[in-house]
Amino acid sequence: MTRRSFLQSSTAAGLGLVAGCSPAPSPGVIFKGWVYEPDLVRENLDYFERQTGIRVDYNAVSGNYHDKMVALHVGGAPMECCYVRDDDFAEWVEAGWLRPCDDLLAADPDTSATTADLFPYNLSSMTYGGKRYGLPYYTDFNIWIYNAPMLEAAGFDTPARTLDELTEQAVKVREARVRTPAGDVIEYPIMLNFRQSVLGFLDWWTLNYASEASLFDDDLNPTFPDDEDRRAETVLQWLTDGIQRHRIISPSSLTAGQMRDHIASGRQVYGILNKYDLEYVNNRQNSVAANDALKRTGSDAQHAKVYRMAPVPSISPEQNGTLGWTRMYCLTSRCREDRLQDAWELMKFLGAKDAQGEYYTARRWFRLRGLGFAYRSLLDDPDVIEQTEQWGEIDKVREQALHVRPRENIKAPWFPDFKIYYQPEIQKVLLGQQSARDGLARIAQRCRQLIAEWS
Amino acid sequence: MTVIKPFHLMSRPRDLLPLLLNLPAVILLLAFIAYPIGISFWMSLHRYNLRRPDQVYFHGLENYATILASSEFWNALWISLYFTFMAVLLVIVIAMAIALLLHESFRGRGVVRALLLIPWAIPGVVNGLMWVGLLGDYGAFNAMLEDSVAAVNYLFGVNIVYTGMASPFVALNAAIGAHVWRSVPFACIIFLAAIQAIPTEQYRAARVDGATSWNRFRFITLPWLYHAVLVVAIFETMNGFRAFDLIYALTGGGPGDATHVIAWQTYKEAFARLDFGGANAYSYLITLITMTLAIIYIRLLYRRGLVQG
Repeated sequence: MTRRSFLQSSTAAGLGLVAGCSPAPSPGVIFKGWVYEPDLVRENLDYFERQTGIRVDYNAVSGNYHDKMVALHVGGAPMECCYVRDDDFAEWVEAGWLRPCDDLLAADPDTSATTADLFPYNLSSMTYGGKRYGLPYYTDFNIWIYNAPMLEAAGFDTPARTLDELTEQAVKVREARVRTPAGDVIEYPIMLNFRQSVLGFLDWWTLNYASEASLFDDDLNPTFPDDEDRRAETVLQWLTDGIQRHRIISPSSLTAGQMRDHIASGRQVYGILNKYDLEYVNNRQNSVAANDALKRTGSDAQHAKVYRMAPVPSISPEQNGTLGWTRMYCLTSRCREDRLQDAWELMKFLGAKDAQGEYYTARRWFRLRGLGFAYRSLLDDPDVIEQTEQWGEIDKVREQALHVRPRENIKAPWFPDFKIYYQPEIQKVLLGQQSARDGLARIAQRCRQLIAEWS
Repeated sequence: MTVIKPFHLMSRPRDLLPLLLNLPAVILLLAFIAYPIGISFWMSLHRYNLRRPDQVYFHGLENYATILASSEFWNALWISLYFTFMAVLLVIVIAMAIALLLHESFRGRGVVRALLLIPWAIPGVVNGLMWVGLLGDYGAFNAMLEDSVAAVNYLFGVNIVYTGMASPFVALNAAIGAHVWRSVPFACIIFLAAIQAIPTEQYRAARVDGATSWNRFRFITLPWLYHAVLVVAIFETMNGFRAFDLIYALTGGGPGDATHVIAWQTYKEAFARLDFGGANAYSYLITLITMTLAIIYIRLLYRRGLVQG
C-alpha cells in the first residue's frame, strides 16, 4: 500500500465512522429508565407495541441513574419520557428538563379520572408549582418488620409498640441468645439503614413520621430541634442510645446497604423495609430465614410468614405514621412534538390504564415482583389481596397506607443540598461525636442558610 | 554575525509540511485537552447551577472564596492530606521493599512479577467493591479484626467495642489500605527498573570495603532511587488527591465525614448539588494543591542535589 492510498483509506474510514456515529432520529418513542428488570420492562413494552402499534426505543441506563441522566439532559440527548424519582423530581423540574402534562390530562378524561384514585402522597409527589408532571411507575412505603419465630423464642408474642418498649424487648431478645438459621447468636437484634447514599437515610424519616413528628412547617422552615415535644431529638437520641448504650442496634447500620439481604439471611430480629420487600424476605428462593422455617415444617410452599409487619415503633403508642415515596414516568421538555401523543399513550399504558381500561402494568409489577402501586382501588383487587396474603397481611397494609407521608422538604429547590449535609451530621450523632440536639441544630441552621440562598 | 532570515510559509513549503503533519494531533489536543481545561476554568468563574439554568452569570472568584470560607473544604483538605501522606509513604516503602525482593534471583520470579500487576489492572470501583466484601459484615478481614479485638479483650481484661467500618478511624485507614494495595504494583515497576540500572561495580566495591547490607542500601541503592522516588511521590500524590472511585464504592463518604476526601467533595458539588461552577472551582483547587506539592517535592530533592536535571 502506498502512503497516498493509506491516507485516502484512513480518511474514508474516519468519515465513515463519524457518519456512523451521527444520531439518526429515532422513529419511535425514546424512553429511558434505570436498570430494574429490563427484560420485564421490555415485555411490557412489547405488549404495548402490539396493542397500539407505537414503537418504543427503550434504554435501561446502567450505573448511577441520577448522574447519567443529568449528563444526558445537559447534553440535550433526545428523549421523550423517562423514569423520575421523587428525590430528583423538583431538581429536574427546576432545571427545565421535564414537561408538565396537565394539557394532556385535560384532553384525556379517562386518564384524568385516575387522579382521584391516587393516594394523596403520590399525587403530591408528582405535582410541582401547581402543575402535574408524572404518572406513577411504582410507589411504596416503609414498614417495621419483626422475625416472629425469633421473637417467640425470646418469649414475646407481639412486637413492641413504642420505642421504650422496643429497647426493653430488644435487650431481652439479645440476652435470650436467639440464634440465626446458621446457628450464630444474634448480637444486635436491630439493624437499620443509615448508610450515606443518594437514596439513603429513609429510616430516619420513617422513625420520625412514626412518632408523627413534623420536621418542617408549611414554608419549609425547619421546626427541629424544638419541634412539638422535641420528637425529632427524642427519636435521634433513642437511635444513638440504641447503638452506643444499649447495643441493640448494629453499628453496621451506618455502613450496610441492601437491608433486605441482611434480613433475608435471618440475622436480624427487627428492621425497616420497603413494604414490597416483605415478599422477598418471606420467599424461600431468596431468604434463608423463610427457607429454614418452611423446611422445619416440611412445607413445600414458596412463602413463609417469618417476617411480619407492624406499625413502626413510636414515642407514644397512639402515634402512627411512616414514609412513602414515588417513582414516576415523566415527559421530558425535549419530547418531540410529532411524538408527543405517542409518548403520552406510552405514559398512560405504563403509569395508568391500558387500552382495555386496566391498570395493566401496575398489576403486572405487583404480581411478578410485589412492587407497590399508587392506585387505592387496587388494594381491593381480589388478585392483589390473595397474593399479599401469601407473604403479608392485607389489613395491615391497608391500615398503614392511611398513615403515609412523603418527605416534607423533598420539593424544596435546596433539597439536594440538604441531603448531602444532613446525612453525615446524623451519622456524627450516631457515632457519639455530637449530641442529638447539637446535630439537629446544625442541620436546622444549614436549612435556614439554604432557604436564604435559594430565595 | 548571524543573519536571521524572515520566515515565509509560502516561500518555504518544506517548512510547512511538518506543521501540516502535526496539525491533526494539535487539533485533537486542543479539542480534547486544552478546550475542556479552558472551559472548565471559565465555568469556575460563573454561578452555574444546573437547577437554576436561568441564573448563569459571571461572578469572578466568588466560587473560590465560598469554597475557601467553608468548613467542608478545610475538613476535606485535611482528610485528603492525611490520606495522601499515608498513601505515598506506604506505597514508597512497600513498593521499594517488594522491588528489592523481586530484583533478587529466585525460582518463579517471573510469575511473581506478573502476579504483582494484578491489583494495578483492577478498576478502582471494582477494587472498592472487593474491599467492601472483605471488610463488610461477613468479610474475612472483618472477621479477623473482630477476632483480634475479642482476643485483646480476653487477654487484657478490657472492653474494646469493635464496630468495623462504622468506626471513622477504621473506615479511613481501610480506604488508605485499599488504595495502597492497588497503587503498589505501578510504583514497584518504577523502582524495579531503577534498581536494574544501578551499576553492579558499585556494590562490588562496597563489599570489598566491607559495607554492610544496610550501608549498601543506604549509600548506593537509595541515592540511585531518588529519581524514581520523586516520580512515584508525584504520581501517588496526584492519585491520592484524586481518590474518588474507591471512596464511592467502599465508604460512600462515611461514617460521618470521616472519608470526605476532596475529590468526593467535588463529586458532591457537581452531581449532588449540580453546582458546576463550584465543582470546577474545586477541581482547580485540587490541581493547584497537587502542583504545589509536586513543586515542593522537586525543589526539595533538587536543592539537596539528590536528583539530576
